[in-house]
Order: sequence, then structure tokens, then C-alpha cells
Amino acid sequence: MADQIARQGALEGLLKPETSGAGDGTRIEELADVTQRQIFARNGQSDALAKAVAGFLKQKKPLGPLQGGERGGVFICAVGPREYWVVAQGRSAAKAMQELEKAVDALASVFDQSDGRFVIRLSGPGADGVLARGTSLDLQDPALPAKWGTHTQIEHIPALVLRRASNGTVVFDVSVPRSYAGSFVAWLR
Amino acid sequence: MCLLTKGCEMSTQPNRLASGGQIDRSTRVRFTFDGRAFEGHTGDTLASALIANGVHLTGRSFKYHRPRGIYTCGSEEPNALVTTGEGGRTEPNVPATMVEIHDGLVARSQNRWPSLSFDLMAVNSLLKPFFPAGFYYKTFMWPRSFWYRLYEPAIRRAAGLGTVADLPDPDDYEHAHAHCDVLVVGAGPAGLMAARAAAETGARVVLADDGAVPGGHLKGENIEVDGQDGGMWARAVCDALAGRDNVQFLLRTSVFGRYDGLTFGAVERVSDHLGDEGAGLPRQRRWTIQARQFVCTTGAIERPLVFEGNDRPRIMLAGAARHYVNHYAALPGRSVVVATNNDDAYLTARDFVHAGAAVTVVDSRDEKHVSGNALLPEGVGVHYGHCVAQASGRTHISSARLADIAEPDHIRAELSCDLICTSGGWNPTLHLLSHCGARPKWNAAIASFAMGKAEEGVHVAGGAAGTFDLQKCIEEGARVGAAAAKACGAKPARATALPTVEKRPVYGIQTLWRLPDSVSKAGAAFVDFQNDVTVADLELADREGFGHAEHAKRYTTLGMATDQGKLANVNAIGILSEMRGTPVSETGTTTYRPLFTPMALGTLAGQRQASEFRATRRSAMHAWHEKHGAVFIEAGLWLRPYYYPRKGEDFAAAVKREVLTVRAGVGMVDVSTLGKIELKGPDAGVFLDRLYINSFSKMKVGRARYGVMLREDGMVFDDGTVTRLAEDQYFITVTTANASGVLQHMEFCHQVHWPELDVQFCSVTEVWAAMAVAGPKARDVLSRVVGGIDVSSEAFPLQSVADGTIGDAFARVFRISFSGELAYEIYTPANCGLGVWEAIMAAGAQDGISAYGTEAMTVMRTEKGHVAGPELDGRTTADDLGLGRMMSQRKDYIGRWLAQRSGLTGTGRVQLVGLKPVKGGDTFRMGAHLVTEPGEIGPDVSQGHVTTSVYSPACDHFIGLALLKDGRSRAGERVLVVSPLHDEQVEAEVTGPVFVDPDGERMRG
Repeated sequence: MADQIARQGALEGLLKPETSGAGDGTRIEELADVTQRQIFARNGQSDALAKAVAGFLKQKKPLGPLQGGERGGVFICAVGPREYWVVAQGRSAAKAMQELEKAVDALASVFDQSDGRFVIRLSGPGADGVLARGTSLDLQDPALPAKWGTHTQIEHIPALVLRRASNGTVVFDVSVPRSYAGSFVAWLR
Repeated sequence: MCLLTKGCEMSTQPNRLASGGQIDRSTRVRFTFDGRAFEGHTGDTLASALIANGVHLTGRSFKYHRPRGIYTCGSEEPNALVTTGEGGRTEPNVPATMVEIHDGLVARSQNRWPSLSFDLMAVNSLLKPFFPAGFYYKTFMWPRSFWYRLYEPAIRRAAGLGTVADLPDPDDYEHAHAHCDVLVVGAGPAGLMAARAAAETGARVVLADDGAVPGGHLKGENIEVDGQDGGMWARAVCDALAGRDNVQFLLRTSVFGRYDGLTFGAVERVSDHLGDEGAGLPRQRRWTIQARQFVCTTGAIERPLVFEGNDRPRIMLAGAARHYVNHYAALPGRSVVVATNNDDAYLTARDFVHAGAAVTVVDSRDEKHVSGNALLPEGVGVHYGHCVAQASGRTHISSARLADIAEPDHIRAELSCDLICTSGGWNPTLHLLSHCGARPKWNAAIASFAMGKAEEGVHVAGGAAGTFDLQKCIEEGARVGAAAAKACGAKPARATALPTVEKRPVYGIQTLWRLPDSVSKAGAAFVDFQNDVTVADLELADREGFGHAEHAKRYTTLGMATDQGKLANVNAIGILSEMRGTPVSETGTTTYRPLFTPMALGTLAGQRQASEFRATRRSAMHAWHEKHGAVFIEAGLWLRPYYYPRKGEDFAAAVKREVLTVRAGVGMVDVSTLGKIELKGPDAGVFLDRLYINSFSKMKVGRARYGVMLREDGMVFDDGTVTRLAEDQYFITVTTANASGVLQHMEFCHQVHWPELDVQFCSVTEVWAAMAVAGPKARDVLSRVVGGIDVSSEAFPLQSVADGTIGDAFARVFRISFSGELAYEIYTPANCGLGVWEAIMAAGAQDGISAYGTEAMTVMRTEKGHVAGPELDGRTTADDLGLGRMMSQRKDYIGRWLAQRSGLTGTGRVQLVGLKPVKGGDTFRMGAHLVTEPGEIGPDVSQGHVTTSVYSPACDHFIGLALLKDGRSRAGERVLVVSPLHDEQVEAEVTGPVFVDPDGERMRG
């Protein structure tokens, strides 16, 4: 009987450590050890869920459409009516993730999407330029300010683009279904 | 004194001025034209470099092969169309005026044989009287079959432009998107001021210009703006704009089209001008620009004067000629006739005089209407009230013959010259304003067409608005830029400081569409250079009833192809109005359509080439399949293993082996592509009851069941497996091809029909890698590799599901079968997919496990009579497919009532049957029709069709599934399977749909 099963990330062997070909210092990297959740409000619990999410984020106002927030390494974004997407990276985020799941437990159905998608982080001054070659989304502030995210398509590949908080640096996390990994990397090249 | 250069370093450029221009004289750029080597400077276009080198003959015309030269300095160039590059990088029909030279540039003239200077096809020109407009369509009518085989190929060889390469294009192209508050197209004086005014409010601005250097007409003018050279002023404004975060400046970018909702298409020439230095960069980038406001500052295009021989080399537009002198320091001629009907051309005369040329002006207007003559130095002759009636010369001109406007019957003078600069006025460049359907209106004040009432979100300034006074252009640009930004909600900024410009003569145009008839009839006076359309062609069109502008365009090909009427249309409309005796405003206009400038097909395709033409999806085990020689088949975007040929095996042999391996031992197939949807919530069961024809709310946890969904109209929509994972949690699989459609359907039903149901669901297709292990030894294999599940038949019966492990990976195991064998489906997190697959393969090695592909799967499901895509074709009901008994009578569900309407029930429906050939060796095809009598095939005699046909190793002959009229009652009957397309007819026997193990003992084993 097999003992250990090798885990194979979607981008294994595909994405080389590199900066973008534009030579503008844009950094492209796969985020490792990422947990992703899709959260839907139960019937009649939309407001309560919004409050619970706001409570988790320790903010008074619920997230508006496409708005996101971060706490303890857990980034949560209101990507649709009664729908949130969560991206958490690393073990350090596990505690906050547990806290979030506990907070929404009775209010929402939570689906684990971690194995189904990979996340690529694009950072640097040319990050939006790289994405603009694939998506028709307006990536500029104020159309997509920091901590906002939305579903879109990148060169006809479904993707969730999250503009992360940054200190003067542009950072995007892009969550892509894993079956598209080959085509996505081909586009990135 | 002529200012042409002297000295050895410039000896290759005899027509280069010693000073001036915006070229970098410290560089020497080497290029070839028609195999001859030349030198130019960085900043030169191919056209300017050729002029500097004394080359004026650059091409042959489309139809008559007349010698042609450089006529303009921009994208409107009709004559100097060349082919650049070699091999796969060959690009035909590029205006020499838009090609920036770089070391190693290779350019060739086109549409000539054997050479540009001696073109045998120029015989067409002698035959011109026999080749009028419409000649082809009237002449080559009989015999009809000759048109495609003889006439058209011969005509295409005799006429045309360049030839495309038949090699793959090795360059890279890409697409990009931009969003802005204000899009300004054209970085001339009006555009620059518009962009500056808009940017100063904080609005997001995109400024696009097709030139390599900003400034528009200012680049080619000898004029001061704010006390400095106009071109320098433009660069300074651009530098300031480029330093702003809210401005995106796209140089070398031609905005080729405007589409609905202020969406624009543009092409950026990213590395065309870099030669080898551009390696690694895309050649061109296609932009999609979404703007909230559009400022059109596309300027104006000068129009030619129409006279006999007006297409000869060394005749060019007056504005272009001075552009070459002022911007490129290239002198197109030394003995110059400037022919005009307006004052703008006097600037050309002045600048040529300053450059050392001898100049004579021929002005069709009376002297009292002229103000531009004040610019001329003493001694420059002006022939008022005259026009050029004829240009003499062939590959270059030698003289201009003048006629008196008042008495046009006689040639009054002949002026020796080596260059004729013509100006028939200026036409606002309205293409982008018209692309969405707006029709321009005649504006008598500028003797041209202009846009009437502005559309919402659209602003026009400068030459594009018919404003030809530079100071007014600048003011107008600043005003509309601020207005556009304000319309976006930007806060008004302090008024943009306006520069002052030196006074220039007023425009003062008086139209001169063509010479009076007595002179113009003598020879070819061209209206459309690119399409070889003459005044005579327009006269013919009018005579034959095609005098409206739109009709004349079709009759003569005027304004078609890459020209899109840039130079020709307004003259043609003016001439037609004179012929018809109607005002220009009533002669009609043609429609400008995208593309404003031609575009390489590679730019349209962008990155989507070859294997990346469209995105593909690969399962977690794809690398294993590749490594083991799988041949893939597309299933939607997915690439699925079709079969795995071994050495010496063809398709049939490989599939047969795979099937027999499963039937006799064990095989494994990748089923990750199945759509997977997870549902949660207390109403999930009820929700599924309403979606499927059978019930699931009462199904026990840990059980799975086959389910069928109908559409609202009662036809079968999809099928798959429904599994209950917990009291309030279900997992369903749907067909690969229909995965997104089913999810969409579920969303619709929940949001619109039953919003009260407390159920949440989403696709988890990507989360799970899935594989089916099938065959009599499947249990043995699994028992070796699965932990935490007793896979014995008693503990884990058919239609069960349980969670376990394979190694340290989670594994959800389903006991379900599509092949008809003892089978299990294993779902594991996608990251573990490859590892689990390999673990099962290793565990099954001793039993000879083999991977099998979709074709073997099709064979086995056909042997079992299981329906799939070919049977679920949108026209079949559950009952047609033999699934009628699954349709619950105790609950309501989508499609229930419409499935019972007359026509979908009772006799006469097609029903699923099996088919086998009467003669064992016969085959039949999918799609073949079923008839009872030989003869003509038609809808009235066809009794059904074959949906699936395969070779069955178990039966050792072909078998098929078919939809046959009242088929279930016709078992044993013989039918003819006919395929008229293939001229095939086979006799077959109707059977039940199940060929193997009809009692299902194998899968229950």
C-alpha cells in the first residue's frame, strides 16, 4: 500500500523563477501553501454574514461590492451578492482562518477551493501593465483600489483578480483554476 | 543658394539639406530598397530617406501599373506602398511614409515585373481605354465556368498590391487593454492641448498618435510657438505630459476603429522600428481602449488637385512636401511648381524658397482673394487664375502645363520643373467620428465635410473640426479637453495656459474639383490613386446611373481597400456633384469603416496562435498521459486521452486492447473532466428533486444514484451521478461538455424559480482529480491501495460512496460503473491526482492494469447501452432513451409537464435501440439514416439515425446505438443503414440497446 502520495502543484515545472519579460521589474511568483474558500450566505443570513465578516476584519462597516479586507494573513473579498472569496497563505494564517470559519459557521456554506486553483502574485510597477495584456478589467485606482477584487477573464481564462494592500507598490494576486495552468503560463510568457 | 549638403559623409544622400530637420545626423542607418543599398538617419521614414537619396519612383499602380512616387507623408499614402522584411516576416502594402528605417531594413517595390523601372505589365496602361470601371463584370461573363478558373486568376495576377508570405510569421504579437476618462487621438497642437487641459484636472488621459514623434502638422511646419520651434514646443508639452501619473502616452499607435460605447481599437508598433534591437519584444500590440470621453484631434488630410497626369512620381501634396523639407531635411525637388486653390500652400512655396529651390506658384484663384502671397520673397512668380492642366513626364515629371481658369481650352504656358506640389484644400479626418454611423455634413466655409452635432461623449477640435488656424486649434483643444474632463466629473483646474503662435495666412480656399471638360478629357486625371479611379471612370459611373457617392464607390472601387477614401472621397463627391449639377451636400457621402489603417493579421490574433489559439484545460494527470504516449482529443477546452497506442498499434488495435484489458482484467481512465458541483444547505435535497426527474431527498447518506435532468421543454438536458455526502450536503457530476451550462441552469432555477430554498452550491470541478478503475480485478487492485474502506461487495455495494485514503492522500471512493464492469471512481484532491493515479497503477501492475482512453470508454458504454452526448442531443425525451421509468410521478420537476405533451409521448417517437450488421464484417457510421426500403433518402423516409457506432471486441463486430421510430417494438427487424454522403448502404438488425451483460451481473460482482 502506498505510504506517501506526492503533491503536485498546478504550476510545477511550468513557472520558472523570473521577472516579466518586459524588463520593468515586475515580479511574478506562485504563492505556496494557499488556502482558498468560497463562502455563500445561507438564506436570510446575508446581513448577518456581512456583519460577521466585518467583525472578523474588526471593522464597523460591512464590505461593499468587490471590497476586501485582511486580517492575520486571511484576505476576504465580497466577490458577488452574498458571496465571499477567501485567500489565506501559510500556516500563520491558519488560526485566523479557523476564527473566520467559526464566525460564519451558522450563517454560510463554505466550500474548499484550495486544491482547485493556484494563485500567482504579480508585484512591481509594471504589474498592472502585465495584467492589462490579458484582461479587459480596469485595474487602476479608483476603478480597482487596493483591497478590491473581482472575477474576470485573462486571455479567456477565468481568474479572480485581487488587488492587495500595498505600501506604494502594486500587488495583484490572481487565482486561476488549476486546469488552465499551462495556458496561463503560456500567456504570461 | 541651395542648401543641399556637401561633403563625403553625406554623399549617399544627395537631396539631404545641410541643416535642419528632426533627424539624428550622428547616426548612419543602412537599408535596401529593391536590392540597392542606401543610408539614412535615425528619425527618417523610408519615404524621407528615399527622397533624401533621390529615389522618387517607388511603386506601380494597382490596375494600370503606372509609375508612382511618394505622394504624402502619413498613413494616407496611396502610392508608395512597399513590401518590407523577408521570409516569414514579409509584410506587403506598407506605406513607405510610415516605415521608420533601421539598420538592415529590407524594402521592395511591388506589383511590377520584371522590375520597377521596366514593368511589362505597364501595357495595361496603354490598354486603359479598354479597361474602364466595371470592365471585368461586363466583359468576362461567358462561359460562366471560366470566371473562377481563368478570368479571375488572370485578373488577380495582372492587378493588385503586394504578395503575402506563405511562411509562418515568426514574430510575437500581443493584446492589451487601457481605460481612461479621456481618450485623445492625435498629438498635434489641438490634441496636445486637449490632453494637457484634461490631465491638469486629474482625469485619466490616454493620448495616442500614429507618429514616432508628437506634434502632428507642427513637426513639418516652419513656425514658432511660444517663441520656440513648433516641433520643440510639441515635444516639451509631451515630456510634461509623460511625467504625469494620470497620462498614458501611446506613440506609434494608430487608432484604427471606434466601436460601440466609446471602445476603440488601436495598434502600437512596438518594435517594428528597432530591427534586431527589438528582439524579445512583441512586434505590435493591439490595444482595446475603453474611454468615458473621446476627444478627436485627428487633424486634416490635404486633398490632391485633379489634372491630367496628376499621379506621376515627383508630384506630391504641398503639405507633405514641406514636411519633408522641414522635419526630415529632405528636398524632394529643386525646381518646384506649387499648384493650389488656397493660401496654405504658400507656406510650402516659402519653405522651398528658403531651402534653395526655385519656385513658381500656380493659383486657381484671382489675386484679390489671395493672402498667402505675402509670405513669398520677391522674385517668386505667381500665376493667378491658372491651374496645372497637365503634367509631362513618365517616371518623373519634366514640366507642368498651365491653363487659364477663365479660358480653359488652351494651354497657356509650360513650366519646366522636377516637382509639382498640389493642394486642393484640406479635409478634416473624420473616420473615427463616422465609424459608429454618424454622417458628415458639407461645410461650405472650409469647402469640405465636417461633423455636425457632436455625439454624446465625443469632442472634436483642431483640423478634425475644420479649424485650420493654429491659434484657434490650440484654444479649441484646450477648451474641449477641459470639457471632456469635466464631463467625467473631474474638478475644473486652473485654466490651461495657452501658447501664442505667429500669424499665418488665412485659408481662403476656393474649390477646384477638376478642370473644365475641354482640358480634362485629354487623358488620365486620377481621383483615387490607390484604386486607379479617374475622372472618366466617375463620368461613366454617372452615365450608367451610379452617380450617387455610394453607388459610384461600388461601381468604380473608389475609396475602397486601405485608402478608405482618405485622399479620394471628397474630390470624388465634388466632381460627381459638378457632373450631376447638384450641390455637394446632396451628392451623398460614403461610409468610413474600420480599419482606418491596415493591420497585420498577427496583430489581430495576438498571443492566440498555434497550440495557444485558445486556452486548453489539462487534468492533474496530464503529464502521465503525455509520458505514456496518449493521443489526446478535445472535449470542450479539455484535452482528454483518446487512446494510448503502443508500439505497432494503430487506433483500432489500441482501443481493442484497452477494452479487452478492462473486460478481462482491470483498466483505469481519467474522468477528472466531469463537471462536479457541490451543494450544501437543508434544502439541497428538495432542490435536486426539482431539478432531476428522479428523487434524491430521501436517498441515504453514503449512497449515489444516476440522475437525469430535463429542460423546461421536456427534452433531456443532462445526466450524471448524484451522491449524498451528508444530510445537507450533496455532490453531483454532470457531463464534461455541459458542466458550465448545468451550473448556470441551477443558478437560474435557484435565483428565479425557488429563491426560498436554503441551498448553496458551486463548481468544484477543479478541486478533484477523478479516475475510474474498472474490470473484474478492480476490487483486487483497490483493496491493495485504499485505506479506511472495506471494498468488498457486501460492505461496499453498487451505488455506495465512502471516504478513505490512498497513501496519505484523501480519497473519496464511489462504486459506480459506466463501463458495465465492476468499477470504482476515486476522487482525490487535485494536487494528489497524479500521485494517486501512479499509486493505483503501481498497485495494479501485477494484474496488468492499463490506462484506457475515451474511445475505449465509448466502446464499453455502447456495449452496455448507456446513453451519452450523441443520444442526449437536445431532441430526445427521457422516454425516447428508455429512461421513462425514472420519471417520478410523485413530485414536480423541471420539464415534467411539457414532457407529457402530445408529440413527445405515444407512437411515432424515435426510441433508443441497438443495431448490429447482418453481415458480420459490415460497418456503419454515426449519423447514417435508417430506412426500410432502398431508394431516395429524405426527411420523409428516414426512420431515425445512428447515434453511436463502434467496433465491439466482445461481439467481434460493429455495433451501434440508434434512435429509431417506435424502435422498442421493432427488435429483430431489419433496416437499411444508409449514408448518402459516403454512398454507403448496410443491412442491420434492430436489437435491444444492451449488448454485453444485460443483467448487470458484472458490475454487481
